[in-house]
Amino acid sequence: MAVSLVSPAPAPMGRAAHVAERLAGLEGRRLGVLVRWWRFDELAAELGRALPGTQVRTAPGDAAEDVGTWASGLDAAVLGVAAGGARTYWTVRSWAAFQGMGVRSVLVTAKPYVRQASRLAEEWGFREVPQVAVPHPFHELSPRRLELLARRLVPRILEALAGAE
Amino acid sequence: VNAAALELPDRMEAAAEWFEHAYAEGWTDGLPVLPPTREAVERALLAAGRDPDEVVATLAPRLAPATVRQVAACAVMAGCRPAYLPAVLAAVDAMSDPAYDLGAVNTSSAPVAPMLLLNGPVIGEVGLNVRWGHMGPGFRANATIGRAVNLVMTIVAGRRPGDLSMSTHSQPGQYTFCIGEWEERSPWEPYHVEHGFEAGDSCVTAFAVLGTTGVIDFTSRTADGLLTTFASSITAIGTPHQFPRFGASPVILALCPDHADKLAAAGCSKADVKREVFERTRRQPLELWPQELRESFLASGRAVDGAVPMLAGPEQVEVLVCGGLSGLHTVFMPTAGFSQPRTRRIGPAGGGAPGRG
Repeated sequence: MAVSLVSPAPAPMGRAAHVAERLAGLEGRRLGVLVRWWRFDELAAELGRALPGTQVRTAPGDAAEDVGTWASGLDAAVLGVAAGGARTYWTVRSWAAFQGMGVRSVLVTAKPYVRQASRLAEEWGFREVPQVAVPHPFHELSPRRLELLARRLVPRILEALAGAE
Repeated sequence: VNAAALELPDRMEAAAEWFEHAYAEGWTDGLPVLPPTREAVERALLAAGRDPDEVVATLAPRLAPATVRQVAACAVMAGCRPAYLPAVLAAVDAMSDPAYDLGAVNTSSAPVAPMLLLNGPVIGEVGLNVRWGHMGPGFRANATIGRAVNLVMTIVAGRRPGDLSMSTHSQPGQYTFCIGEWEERSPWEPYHVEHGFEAGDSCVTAFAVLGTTGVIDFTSRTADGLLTTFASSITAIGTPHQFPRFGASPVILALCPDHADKLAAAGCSKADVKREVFERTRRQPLELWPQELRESFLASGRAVDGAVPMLAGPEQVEVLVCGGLSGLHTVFMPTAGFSQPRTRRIGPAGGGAPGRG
């Protein structure tokens, strides 16, 4: 007996989305830090200290349209912390929008959510999503540990945003 | 396109064989599903009167287009009668509204699930149970309309645990959760009329709920007592609407008819109930919370004069009337803070809403 079935699944979407190119350097560039989790602004301050000559601007909030307007004035961006399922979704959505605007961007992602972020980007057709992983829960780190972490993250963020592949 | 052939050895073995196939394809919620045969899907499509290739919505997190045909296939698999498909389509449309934030609902680490509320003539037309046991098993329309929507979320939208979905616990509502108001028994206007629809409109509203909590009050003889009991359920530490970032999420009180009667007999309109519950949640002493939350409330400016308001306003309290008689049990349902309920008119072409469209 042969039964003809209608598949409930969508056809393979075959998407191919472009990841914005790395910058040659950040000197004199406009770097944005999208703060989606408590205390991530402290990382922004550390980036500002580490990158003299670079304009570092922060933006809070989850409203996608506001974030898009803010990002239109940037050359590169750091988004984080991607932590929690929905927050990681929102953060990767913003990252994807930034790619469409040609803004080279890196996610700072809490370790348990690195795979989810990669899978979301993959579903939307990106072959990679630059990420640097941080401990979870990020917001419980002491001020001293956060300061040390920020210093450790800066070179990894710079590597993801600028310089040779 | 969208077709597959499956050789089945005989009728008795076919069901088991089909279920193994469906499970391997990721086309189930873990429970058996019916095969979406061409004939069954065609019958559903005929009832919906929609172009099978029409894209109902693009569904997050995959951002996958869901066609009428795919939703119909999910409805058949869930066990829906053809007449249920318009409600399923309208629900999927409602959940794709940006205010519902389906991407967040389907990826959240919270135990969040779609809860569908039907109002209007559709309740009688599909035989939805709105009385005893209406949130539980035993009634085909309740069970399968909610299940069809959840199958769409799993199969089309990509709500896979540990993959795109990071829900720590998930919850039983991700199998199915479809209810309706017992409109004839309610002393007040039904939900869809309150939100700008006509009483004769058939509507579905999608909420993103975080579970159900039983609220028992056998003893209160006054409206004041009952309202205080209801308000207390909303003020538990850890419910999402207390957090500054999640301050506007609706809270749902599904009142049993007996509780609603008692309030109505005391002269309370639905608006009175919402206002009085809000008033009773306004001043929760700051010292009740753990230190870190207290600091968070103070830093955000949410705490005023040593107290924390749990809700932003009376409109945040959603009041439904449903369930059996004589039980004196109400159900409280918090909702995910990032998601606002959306309502759609059920019909051949769907339809937006005056209030919650």
